[in-house]
Amino acid sequence: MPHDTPRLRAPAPSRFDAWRSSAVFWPLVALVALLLLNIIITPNFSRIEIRTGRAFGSIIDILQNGSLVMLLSIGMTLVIAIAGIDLSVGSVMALAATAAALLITGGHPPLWIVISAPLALAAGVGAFNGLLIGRLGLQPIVATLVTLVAARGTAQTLSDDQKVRFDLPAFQSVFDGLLFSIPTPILFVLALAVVVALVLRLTTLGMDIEAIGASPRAARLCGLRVELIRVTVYAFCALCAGLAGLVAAADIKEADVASCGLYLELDAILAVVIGGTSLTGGRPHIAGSLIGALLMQTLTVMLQMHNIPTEQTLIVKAAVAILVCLLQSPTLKPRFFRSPSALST
Amino acid sequence: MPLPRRHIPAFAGAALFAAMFAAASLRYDHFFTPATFLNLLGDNSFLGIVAVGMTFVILSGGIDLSVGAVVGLATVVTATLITDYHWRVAPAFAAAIALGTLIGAGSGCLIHFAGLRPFIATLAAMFLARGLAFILHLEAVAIDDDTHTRVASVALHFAGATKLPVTAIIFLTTIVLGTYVAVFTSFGRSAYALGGSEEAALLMGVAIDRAKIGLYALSGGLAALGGVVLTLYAPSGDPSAGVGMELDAIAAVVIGGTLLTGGVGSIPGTLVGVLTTGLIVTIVKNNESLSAGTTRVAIAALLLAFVALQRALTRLTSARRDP
Amino acid sequence: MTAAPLLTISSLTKRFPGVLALDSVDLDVRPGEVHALMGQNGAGKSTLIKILTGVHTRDAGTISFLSRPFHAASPSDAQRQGIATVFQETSLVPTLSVAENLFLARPHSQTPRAWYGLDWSAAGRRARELLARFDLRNVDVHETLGRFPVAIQQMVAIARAIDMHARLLVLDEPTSSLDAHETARLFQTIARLKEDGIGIIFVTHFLDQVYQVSDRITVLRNGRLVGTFAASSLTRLDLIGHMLGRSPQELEASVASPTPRTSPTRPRDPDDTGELLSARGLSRRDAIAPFDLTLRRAQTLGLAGLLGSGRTEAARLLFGADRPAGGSVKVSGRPIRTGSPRAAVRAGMGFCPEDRKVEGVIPSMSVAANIALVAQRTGARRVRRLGRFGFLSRRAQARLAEELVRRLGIKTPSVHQPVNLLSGGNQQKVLLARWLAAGSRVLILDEPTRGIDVGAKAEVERLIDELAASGAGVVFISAELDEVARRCSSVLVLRDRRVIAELSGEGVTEHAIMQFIAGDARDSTAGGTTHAS
Repeated sequence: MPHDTPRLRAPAPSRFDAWRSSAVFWPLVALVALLLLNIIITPNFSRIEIRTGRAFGSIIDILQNGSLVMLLSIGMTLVIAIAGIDLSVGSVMALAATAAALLITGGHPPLWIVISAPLALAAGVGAFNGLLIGRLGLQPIVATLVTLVAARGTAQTLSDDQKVRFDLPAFQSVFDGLLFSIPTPILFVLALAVVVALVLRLTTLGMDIEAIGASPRAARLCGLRVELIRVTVYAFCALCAGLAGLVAAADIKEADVASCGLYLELDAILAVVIGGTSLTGGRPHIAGSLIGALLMQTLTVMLQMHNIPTEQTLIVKAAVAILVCLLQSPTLKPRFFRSPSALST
Repeated sequence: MPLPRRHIPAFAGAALFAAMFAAASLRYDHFFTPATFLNLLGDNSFLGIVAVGMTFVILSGGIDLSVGAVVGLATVVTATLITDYHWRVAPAFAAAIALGTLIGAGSGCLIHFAGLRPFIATLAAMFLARGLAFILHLEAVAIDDDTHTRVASVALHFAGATKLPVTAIIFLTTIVLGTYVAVFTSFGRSAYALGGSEEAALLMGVAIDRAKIGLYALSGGLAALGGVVLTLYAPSGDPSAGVGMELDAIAAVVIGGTLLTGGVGSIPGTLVGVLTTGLIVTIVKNNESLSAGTTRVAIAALLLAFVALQRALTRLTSARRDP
Repeated sequence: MTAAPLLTISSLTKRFPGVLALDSVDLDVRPGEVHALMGQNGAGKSTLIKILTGVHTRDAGTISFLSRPFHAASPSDAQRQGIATVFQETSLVPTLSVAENLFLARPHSQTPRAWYGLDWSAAGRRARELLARFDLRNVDVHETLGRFPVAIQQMVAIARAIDMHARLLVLDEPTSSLDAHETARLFQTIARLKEDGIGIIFVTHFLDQVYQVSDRITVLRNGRLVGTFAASSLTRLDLIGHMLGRSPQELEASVASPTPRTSPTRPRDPDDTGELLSARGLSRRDAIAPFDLTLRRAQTLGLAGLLGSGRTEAARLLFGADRPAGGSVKVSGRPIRTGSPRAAVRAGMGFCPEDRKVEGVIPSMSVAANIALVAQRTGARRVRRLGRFGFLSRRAQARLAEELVRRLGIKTPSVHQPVNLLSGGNQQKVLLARWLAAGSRVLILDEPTRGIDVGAKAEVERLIDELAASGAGVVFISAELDEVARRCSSVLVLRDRRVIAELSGEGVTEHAIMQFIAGDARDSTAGGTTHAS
């Protein structure tokens, strides 16, 4: 066993436990390598300049365009950590975006309602997912596939299948503004990631989630509230999706029911898997998921800068997904990571 | 060996279909005609063909999320080969179906040999199929070929103006052949055995590797056939065709009485499921006040209701088992 | 019974990482013989059967079947060669029909076929003929198998095996979910198979049944062969003695000598005050008949019985791990919700389950996390300083864990080590540490000493005594009766899923427990009361 986990330092208590864990280590190496590669082969990749108070450059692009997937992957990490999956996040984005847009165009409610009502709606959808899985005993894929369809369908019904354009400067400045020259979505990601990471580390919730994901039966016998935590986690995941929906809507000043968040659930799942959180449940790696999301985004930006259309990058994503899954595969992993002596026997 | 008791959900689906058809006939003029029914078959033929493949996979306790993308890929492959490379229609169709089968077999191998879970393996296959489609063509491409047009216009004509289009004929043929494979071949029965208890199937000597890879290959092949049929329905290759079709197929399968956990279900049931979901779409189309979104919500709700019904029935059966 | 053996196993050896599962075991089965294979958990029965049926490969030894060397690559391969296994539940596919189960995955020549494919009407006909030979005439062969009672399902599995020309049948705990009537029916079938010259290896935990049908009995213990005996010449007491590794003479002697009575580790007469845990009429269908239990402060109460006697089921109901069909549980006189581990934990109970790898420790989590998992939320006074409002400091968690690691002598390089890298004994101690940290006053320990080495065992036992001495109540389950007798001031004896006797005080002797388990306790021993059943 000890030979397959690279020990970066002695297993002593450390504030940076999550960082030194091998699960985050390799994605980080891959990200750094990819960035270095880009700095070499892609002209102007590393340049960051500040024009009219706004930072520009490929790196900022990656962060900003990646912010949606990063937001989604934060929630998705927790869901996957409890051995679940949420396919509905893309649709929940569309639902939240549509709700916000309709609120803005419909009346003129105060900003906090425009923000909190869609988020509450999203969280409600997530809680519904959790209940379908816990109470009705549905497999997570099926339950969230149902909400995937239902949430977008509801958004379509609400918006009459139309794109809803809106204009509310305050809303834009919150979700598509600048703070210290940094686009606010990046700050949202950072803030949310830090808060979640802190909550996971400082409260019992982190351990509860890990315990439920790794061994639900043992967790139950420890008296953990498995049901409640499951519903909370799914609700939080949908809340992240709602936030991403608002960011996406603010970006184009419009809620596009048909395309908002389409297929982003797959990017988010992929980011989480790359980040080292096991699909079979266990310890959540928030930092790893963010790195995974950035890795995917860097790949996309890189391919774009070499004039390859976004749609075709799906192939690359498929290749990465299969590779990562094979590396984590329970039956193949032992073959890859056997020490030479074990191989010879 | 269809048995009444394990087909309660399928009967519920059929009853629902009949009730909806009756209600719609009362509500709308000119609804209760053979033409409506035949159109229903034709309009949903590609979904139906995809759903037959999905039925096999779900029967075996798995799931295939790549079918929608494979449908899109098949339309693009067909269109590309015919329009860009001037292939004849038959080899172009065959190539598209072969590619779909290959992708399905690939998913099956990932699931069987690497131990990946079906949803993640088929999710990767979905990426792959979509990506391939977009590499061939970023936008939809029209199929303009005389033979293709002629094939597409083949139909069985009945009295009056009613006719059964070629798409529906292929669909019904698939249902018949699918039923045959499910009931009268060892391969079909091994799907049921796998879904009922993989452990027992292994102990009894079912060739699990062949069955699993074969089932996903079959699903991929039928999804591609669905794509080919889609080109006959609307003569173009669209890389984004079939988006979200995986859920419609799953819904049709479940409404048709196939247990999501596997082991119980039937291909004719899936026909009922396809017609039921298709009828919802038709009704919504007939009603000006309902948006397309309503269809989606209704299908999702229906899927949920049927899964709940299955749960209740399963519980009832197992409760009766230990008195 | 002088025919040449059907199956001869000699010097069979199988090693798993860290365990010698089978150590040079011999066994032979004659045609028309029912050969019972007996032993405790971990004795090597299932390993032997798995090698025989091609699930595992052997490391050493020879198997010859029908006078030819035998090697099976898979269960279906073994079946093809004539050795079929009927497991308790998993032998057949419950969602398929009876006829399908009979003919699924059979060799081509044995499958009913017509020109168009599988011929289901022929299959139905053949299935009815086949089942008629087993007196199953009223079974609708097109009905789903899962809708029939387990007994019928097993009979179908046997019919399938016989139809596939099996010469040796392995029945792996076939009766553990059958009622008396169903068992009788199964035994009729077995009798008929014997007449046909088929050899049967019969694995069970029910002694009555062993004597009812077996010709010979082979006992395994800790992977070694204890011996093969003719059923007619082996007394129950001897059989149990062989299974447990104690000779009855030894036991008689220990009863006679007064020395063990003075053992300091066994609290003789605990204060009659302080009823910690009481259960009334607790029961669960097909698991355990209604039973009562009272546990006082500083008392260690044993649940004794063979595997499958209902001792584990009783423990799970007490803690709420399973939902009971009826009955009530009180902790310190206050009723708690049954069937809820959360309620039990909040009331101060702790549970070390039988399957500690699946239901006990969380394998991928660290020692510290495993220990602190419950403590952080129960609000035990000594732990509350760890943190408030659900917040907990990692450092405090580690401190708590380190303290317990020291106190319990858990061998681990660090409290941050994932618990699955620890040995079984240390994992068990981590589990105990979890409940100590949580301040549990009632501990339910299901085989806490199973599968751990001698040193760790002694330490776990010492810990249990310490716990009891500090005023906690312990419900203790062990397959090793000497442990139970030494440790417990009273013992509930279970057999066939019901509590059959309660021993206390002087009545708690290994011999008395064994007699009740063997079912031939004619007089209730001193201090013991027999329950009417």
